[in-house]
Amino acid sequence: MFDDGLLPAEAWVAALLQLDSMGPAKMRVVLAGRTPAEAWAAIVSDEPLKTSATLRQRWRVKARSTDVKALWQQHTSHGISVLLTESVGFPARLIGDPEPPDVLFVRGDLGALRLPTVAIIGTRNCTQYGADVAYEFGRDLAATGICVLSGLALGIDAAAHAGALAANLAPPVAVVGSGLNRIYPSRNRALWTSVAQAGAVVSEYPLGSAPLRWHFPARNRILAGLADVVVVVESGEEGGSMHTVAEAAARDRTVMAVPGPIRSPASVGTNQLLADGCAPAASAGDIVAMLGLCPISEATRPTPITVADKSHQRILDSFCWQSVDLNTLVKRTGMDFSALSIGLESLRQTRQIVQRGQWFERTTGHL
Amino acid sequence: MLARISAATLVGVVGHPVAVEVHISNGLPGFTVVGLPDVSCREARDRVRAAVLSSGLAWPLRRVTVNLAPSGVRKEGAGLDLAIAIGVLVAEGDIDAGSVENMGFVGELGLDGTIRPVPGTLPLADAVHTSEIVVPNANAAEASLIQDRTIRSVSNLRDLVDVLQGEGEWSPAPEAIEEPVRVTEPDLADVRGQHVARHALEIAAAGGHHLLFIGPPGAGKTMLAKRLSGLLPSLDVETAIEVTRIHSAAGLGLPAGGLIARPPFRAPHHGASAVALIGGGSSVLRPGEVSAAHGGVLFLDEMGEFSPAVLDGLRQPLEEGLVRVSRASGSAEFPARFLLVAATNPCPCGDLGRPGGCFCSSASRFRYARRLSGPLLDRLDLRVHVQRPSGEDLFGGRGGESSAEVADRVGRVRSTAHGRGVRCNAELSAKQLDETDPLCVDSVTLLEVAISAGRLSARGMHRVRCVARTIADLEEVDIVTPGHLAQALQLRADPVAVNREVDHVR
Repeated sequence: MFDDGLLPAEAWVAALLQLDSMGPAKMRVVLAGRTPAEAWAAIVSDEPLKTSATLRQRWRVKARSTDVKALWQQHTSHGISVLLTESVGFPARLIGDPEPPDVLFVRGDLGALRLPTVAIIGTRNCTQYGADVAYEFGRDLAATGICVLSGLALGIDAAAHAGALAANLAPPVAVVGSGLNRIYPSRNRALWTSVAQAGAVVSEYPLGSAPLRWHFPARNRILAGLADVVVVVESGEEGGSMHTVAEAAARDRTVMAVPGPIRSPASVGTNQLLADGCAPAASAGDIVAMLGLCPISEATRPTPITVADKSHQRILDSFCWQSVDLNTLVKRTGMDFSALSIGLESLRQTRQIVQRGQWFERTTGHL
Repeated sequence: MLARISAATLVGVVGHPVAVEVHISNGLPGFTVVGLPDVSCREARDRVRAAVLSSGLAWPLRRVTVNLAPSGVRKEGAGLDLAIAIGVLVAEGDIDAGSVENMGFVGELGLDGTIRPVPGTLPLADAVHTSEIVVPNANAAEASLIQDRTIRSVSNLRDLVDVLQGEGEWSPAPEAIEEPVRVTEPDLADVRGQHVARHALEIAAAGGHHLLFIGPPGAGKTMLAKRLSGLLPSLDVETAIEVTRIHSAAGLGLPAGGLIARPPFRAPHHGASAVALIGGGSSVLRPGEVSAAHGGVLFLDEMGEFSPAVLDGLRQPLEEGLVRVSRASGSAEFPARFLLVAATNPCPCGDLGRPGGCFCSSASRFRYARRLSGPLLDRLDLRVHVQRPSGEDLFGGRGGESSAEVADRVGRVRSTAHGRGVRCNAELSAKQLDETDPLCVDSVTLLEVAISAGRLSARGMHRVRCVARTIADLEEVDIVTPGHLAQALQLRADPVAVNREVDHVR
């Protein structure tokens, strides 16, 4: 079993990270003056380490029953590479980071990080407006040759990745908060796979790690570290996005925010960022210009959709690009319920509006 | 020495005739009741003896045996007290057997000889096959609903014995109240705004479609639901008697006239057990809330908070209009044809629900919505989101139509439905719909799109067509148009689909 000379240092680190409550701090203790392989041998033979006896005991039991080679094969067969800070291919932007990750697990190819990078982030609980904007930004930035970064969460993250994939040019990169074999949220399974195929999915956490609550703030710091520009599409007053913004500020990354309606709870955070002096991102061109690149010529503002049917136009106009409920629509359009219902059904069919619970929202129709 | 008196006992909501046989013989003085009496029935011994003595009559100092036949049926309650007392007096010779020959007795005795009201007097009196029936004074009104029997009401044992001994007169029959007292029901005119919800309420009343309100606390879901029974037409005589029987048997209060003429409104708390809601019980089978709501409205507020097992029990009554309860002690059928109105919050925080505004995680929102899912939700034809009314709605302008105006239209639609051979449009079969309303091309497209988008099941499509029929009837239009179907679709929101459409990658 201990033909350790054949296994790279990364394999031993991956094995060490499988041990109970092994975090960056304990890792440093264990690795003090040892190579990862030596550290592993030390644990197996119960050499004195600067940790509690019970933990050492648990580690020893676990380590003795772990087949490091099989574990390493599990990584390689899944196409997962392990990057230590000294490994070739470790993202240059993270070297010199105030809190760099000691190790990164990568599924896919991180080559896209050689391109300029933009993180598109925002709330999971977004409005259709936010999702549409994130999609369009993702698509247009990727089409300009910019690597789109996000966190593969529901809402804005997913929309940004979906847009970036749709452009089919610059590969997207996702930074996630769970082990790479633990897809979270499971509803994003298809998206996760596509991102890993086209670009890369990155995690600081070893295989099998659950998406624990405190993983996400840590994930956000990596996201901020990897990005040249962070764009917040929609965010409430507090939340993960605001945390990422703070991390970005700590790393001198440019933060941009997408203006939203002052009445939308999902835009409170972004509007506050604008008030605090963030640059507004009203189009992908604004972001490209912020990167110091040549702005794309084509404006990406939604082309106004002309609707043949007058009553349909009336319904769409009454939305004012906000979420509205049926009662409000009845009041605003002044149409009778029958005509309104028919109009809503056909607008829904052509995907010019979507319905979420009682709320109807206009959409640009990409999602 | 032997007397035989007609009486009845209650099984579920149906009376069963009971013959009370009393035998008095020489032997050690004693008093035994046999024939499967339950505890309250066996306690009749002490009540009867005390009542007889308090009425100034002598108690036989001999061996008294009471048999309640048929002995296979469990006898429950104190409704047999009066019959036992009369039996003892007849067997002892205080009352002439001939004078009670064609007479049945229902009533509970107090120790002082007063005759107390008994739950279920209507079904009990109905089960007694005699031409004259003696009932407690307080139950006279409901008992008088039985045609072609003479109902005698008494207030205490002494008076009754006097009459039977030929020394007194029956107290006059209670005056039939001509106009059933119109209980004031809350009026729809009090509701401000809520255009869509009012519309849905009207359709539910007109077509007998079950209704779900989804909305934040304080939006007025309960207020709206309480106004539904006021929109329904008064019960027809047959149903009214059926409803009165159930309420009588369940020991619920009856109106002054005895007859429940208006559709009942029942709103059980969400802590209700399955037995309380559906009916049952271990020894005595009692009707549940669904039966108490028979002919009227069953309102389940905070439907998501009811235990799923309890809600699942609603499926049989919703499907068949009755509940079949089987226990070791016997089985009973309770009528339970009601209009279900349920209300629920859109998510655990219940408050915002607005895109970007709700603080519930999407997973917990999904879980919450899932509690209402499945077969039960499929039976709710109308599902409407209710928003808090705006200040403008509350303070500005006029209230909407009054209940009376809406009830007129509802009544008309109901009679149209009768013309089709069903009680209400919700009962229309697919075949009947195909005959009366063949779908036009546009309608087919509309439904096809909804089905392919996963918004509609096959059953759902049929329900949508029924609702569309009701909407057309309300507008007094013969043919169902795509507009009617589109309305029916709009009024069939899918609470489980919260966020389904914004899961960007499907």
